[in-house]
Amino acid sequence: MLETPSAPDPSAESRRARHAVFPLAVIELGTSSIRMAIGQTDGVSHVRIIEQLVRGVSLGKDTFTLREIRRDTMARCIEVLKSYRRKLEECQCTNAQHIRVVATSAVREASNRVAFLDRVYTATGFVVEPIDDAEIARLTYLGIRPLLEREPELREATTLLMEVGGGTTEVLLLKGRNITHSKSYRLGSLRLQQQLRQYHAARDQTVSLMEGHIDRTLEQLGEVIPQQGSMELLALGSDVRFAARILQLEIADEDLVRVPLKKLQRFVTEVSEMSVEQLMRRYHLELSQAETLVPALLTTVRTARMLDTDHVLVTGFNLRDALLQGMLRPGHWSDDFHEQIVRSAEEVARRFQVDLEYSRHVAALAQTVFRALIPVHQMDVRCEAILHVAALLHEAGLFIGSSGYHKHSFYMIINSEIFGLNSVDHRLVALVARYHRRATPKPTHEVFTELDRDSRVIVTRLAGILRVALALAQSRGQRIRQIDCTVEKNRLVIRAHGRSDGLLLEQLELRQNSNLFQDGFGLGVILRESAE
Amino acid sequence: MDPSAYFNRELSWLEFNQRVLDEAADPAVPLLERLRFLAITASNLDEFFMVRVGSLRTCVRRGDSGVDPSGMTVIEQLDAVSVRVHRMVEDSYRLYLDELDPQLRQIGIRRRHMTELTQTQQDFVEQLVEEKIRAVLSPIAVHDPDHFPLLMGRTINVAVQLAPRDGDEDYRYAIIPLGQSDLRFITLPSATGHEFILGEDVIAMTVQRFFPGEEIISTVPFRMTRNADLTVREDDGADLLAEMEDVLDERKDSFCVRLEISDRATMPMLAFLKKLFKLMSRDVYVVHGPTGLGDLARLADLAGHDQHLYPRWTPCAPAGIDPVTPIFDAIREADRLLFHPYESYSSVVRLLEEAAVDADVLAIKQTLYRTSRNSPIIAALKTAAENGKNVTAVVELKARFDEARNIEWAKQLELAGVQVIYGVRGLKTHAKACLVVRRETDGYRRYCHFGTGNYNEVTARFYTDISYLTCKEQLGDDLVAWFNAVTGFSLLQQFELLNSAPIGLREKLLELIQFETERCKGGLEGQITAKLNSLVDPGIIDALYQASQAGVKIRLNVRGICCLKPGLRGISENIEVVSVIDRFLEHARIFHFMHAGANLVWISSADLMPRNLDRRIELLVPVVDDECRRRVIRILNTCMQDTVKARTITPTGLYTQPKPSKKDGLRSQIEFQRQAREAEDNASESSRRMFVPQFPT
Repeated sequence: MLETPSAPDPSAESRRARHAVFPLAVIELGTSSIRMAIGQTDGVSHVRIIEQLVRGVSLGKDTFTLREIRRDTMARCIEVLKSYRRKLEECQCTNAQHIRVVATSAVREASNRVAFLDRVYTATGFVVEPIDDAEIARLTYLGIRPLLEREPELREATTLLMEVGGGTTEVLLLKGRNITHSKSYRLGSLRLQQQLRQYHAARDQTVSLMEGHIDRTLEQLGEVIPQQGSMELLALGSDVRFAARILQLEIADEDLVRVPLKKLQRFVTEVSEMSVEQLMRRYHLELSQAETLVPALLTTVRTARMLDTDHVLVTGFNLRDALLQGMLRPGHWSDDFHEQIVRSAEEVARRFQVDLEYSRHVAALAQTVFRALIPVHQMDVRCEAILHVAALLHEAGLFIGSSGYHKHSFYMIINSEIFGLNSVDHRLVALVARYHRRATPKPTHEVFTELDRDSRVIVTRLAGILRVALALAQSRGQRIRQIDCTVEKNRLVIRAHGRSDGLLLEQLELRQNSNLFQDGFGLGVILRESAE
Repeated sequence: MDPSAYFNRELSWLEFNQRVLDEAADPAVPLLERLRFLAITASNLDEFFMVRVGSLRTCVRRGDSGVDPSGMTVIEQLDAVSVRVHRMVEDSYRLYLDELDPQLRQIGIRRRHMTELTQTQQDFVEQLVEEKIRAVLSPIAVHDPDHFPLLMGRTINVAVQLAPRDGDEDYRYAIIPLGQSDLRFITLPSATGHEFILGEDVIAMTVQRFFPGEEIISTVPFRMTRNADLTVREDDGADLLAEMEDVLDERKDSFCVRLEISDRATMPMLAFLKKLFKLMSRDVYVVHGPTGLGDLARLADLAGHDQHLYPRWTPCAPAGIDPVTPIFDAIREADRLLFHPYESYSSVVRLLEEAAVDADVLAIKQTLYRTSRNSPIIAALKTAAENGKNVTAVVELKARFDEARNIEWAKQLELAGVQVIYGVRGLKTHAKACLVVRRETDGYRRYCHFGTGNYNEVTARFYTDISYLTCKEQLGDDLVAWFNAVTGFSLLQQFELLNSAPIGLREKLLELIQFETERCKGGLEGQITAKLNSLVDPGIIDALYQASQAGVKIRLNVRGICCLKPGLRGISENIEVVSVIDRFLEHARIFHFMHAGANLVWISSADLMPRNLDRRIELLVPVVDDECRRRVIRILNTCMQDTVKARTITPTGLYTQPKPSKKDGLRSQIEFQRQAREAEDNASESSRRMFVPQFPT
């Protein structure tokens, strides 16, 4: 038997310091549950999930019926989050940088969300970050991308990736691994269930009511689905995973299983004839799971029928996996992801009949200026993407009319779905486009003044760069194809290559339009011909 | 399924107890071990009456009119139990009085009656009566059955019948309870061996001193048994600890289920006691000899009689686990499978003791159902908590007959800073699992111990159980999730490898049985071998019947209750059931499914009874390491090959020896001892050849 020391080993801390592997955690406040995933990583390689916890809390029931989160639901959330805090302490996961707490539609749409977030922070110390649909789509894409690359049947296919959540259904349409459409539908299993409850429909009517509602909501999807060629439906989410398991199709975390639609349909018919209590007893489900199972599966089946596919692909991937992987490289946007954003923005640009050749050229010039100025502005790739998208869409407003078109561009961008941009990014893109002409931000511009200071600086600087790029592309004939930029003393010196017919026009334009740039960077701008 | 396809569970249990009694009757067994088996038979019956008969009587009180799977009503079961137990009790006393007691006398262990005492012994008893017995014991007059004083169950009492008062017709009665005093076995001064007298004999001879001036008609010792089948109310917000303490109080005065009384009792005395305890004739056991044969176990432990016991067995050091290197290293190197008591339980204790003082250990989680009086495991958990580890103990307060002890530990652990969970509401946490979370240079590593027996290093010396030590990631993930569910941190989630009752374990077993059935239906081979303590669940039995009908070869080693009838034509011809009763209590639960050659092996805390599958938290754990898996299969096969202590069940419920006993017949427990000793010898031989230099640190 070992001797029992009376006090802990004093070298424990130093030992721990040697541990190369550290814990990370993500907590997700969903519509019907609060889930936590704790992972471990050495900071470089893949995060391995070591614990997953789930507790039922019906935030969505409150929000989708009362529009606000009730006090006792808040108390329940706090109780769960406190227990999760204890679990994190047990795992020595206490570094706030390594813990991300996010909330989805049930919190985002609650009228008292600010009070809720404050209460949670006061009681638990957790800063809850409501994430919007675009962020979820971005994370989902990032998480699913390795699967798209790995699975031969998806590599070249047109795939509709769908996750039926409690409050919304996220849809990504992919051609190979490229996103061609991204949208979040206000069609969630819990929301649907709550809506139907208001009709007081008999059980035998609920399925047809649900189907009608699902079909009407997904009608718009028909507009973007290619009419020809076969499609794959890749379904994410705990309900469809559960169905696959019951149908004896085991799924490992990152694998894919093919569920025959007929089997899934039969299962849905079977479970839709059962009461919630029967479902709980038969399948050992929690109330929240039992309530949302049928609406979620019906949505999946109706979508599969719309796509005319005879099977559904199901994967074990979930949002928390993506959040954990994302924490390793906060703000890291890969080239591929940047490309997807641009692709999605170009889809929007096409819809508004933007001169894409021209706007791509503007974007390329703006990108060169942006990169040259990185030592000055220290902005990251996210800002570069915002500038890129703004450059592509700055003339979208011309679709309405030329008078004050920059204002049209602003609201058209605000109301467009661009994959990969969250609501803040979206606003920044619209404002950069808004300020690409003569007007400068004013105190009366509400959307601008509501931004925090950092975001206001970003808008000013990016709009300044966009104006410089526009000046260089003033002829619209791509006279200046290539530039070099250097910062010399208090000036940005732009050297244009390959021009022998003078730069007078562009220099004049620059002089007139560099004021915002000068305000943003405190630098003058000079355009010269390259000495080469 | 037709009721005739099942044995009644109570009668099946009684047949198990008969097999224990058969060990007591076996002349090949050493004398004091025979006495111990006799005592075990009696104390087993005590528990049977407290729990099972108590439960049946409760059903009668509730007016339960249902039938059990074998088609018997509750009353029919009570009657059948009474008939069977009466026969067993008669057999027990015949064995004791005709065989064991005379042989005990021969080896110097002699019970004396008052009339046989030497002068020295008489003086000794006289002194004892005056100084102790009269001071400690008090007669209680009994007038009215409705105001009957509290008598403890399973203790010896002496009933005294007094003559009626003048002018009255009715006898008067008094009771002298021995209670839990140490006056049952009184050791007498003797120069030749161990001589003793029973306390009730002394009281009977000196009873007049308790009732001076009264005419005593008769004195007779008796012993009664109370119902202990009481359940705790687990309402929302209720304090389970307080509720359990209430249950313990209730048990002291719950209704009587049995009266054992000496055949010296007069008819009026017997009638009075039956009325007093509200018993029917079937509940009364008139015995020719001392009541409470279970108490004789203390004689089996008398010093100086080793030649009349089984040779002392010291558990061997398990191969591959070096006592001087950290246990974590050994588990990291390979999964370890231990077979107790052939291999020492100390490795399991070491896991906790080392975890308690290891700077890299973050958390320990542990289930506790029954453990020993001075448990080193409890001590290690306390040390760990005091050292700042996050320690969680799931203490099952509802572990029958260990409730008081568990309440005490729970309080002690809480004081030391352990987070104590009193099991799960509405369910008993019977699973045996321990989890140590350690932060190592390459990440968090979870060390798991899964067992088939309790965390009790004392019973691990005479219960056969399996321990499985592993740090495999998937098992660690599952055990973390399981503890998170049991401790309320999370809802129960889908496991990768583990299966837990009441959600999933039954389904998994049925799925595994079904797989073998389908294989055989397809003309392929299917085979199931299992070792367990009880097989009662009709759902599982039916699945086994179907498997048998499909051609699956099923071999079962069921120590205790078996409601499955093997060898029934058209139903269970392919099922063979044997039972082993030997020196060590067979306790491991192991399942082996051929599974198309994959040879899946599982260990479990659960027996196949509805209570385990539906009302308890249990674990079914796959043995995933190849070497460990092969070893478990070898263990199972050896158990099935026993020809000395195994008995085969016939379709009529008789237990017969599988083959005529031969001198070289296989006795599995001896074979396991031999294997363990051989492995230990081989390991120590190789360590003698390998010198490990000690370097300065």
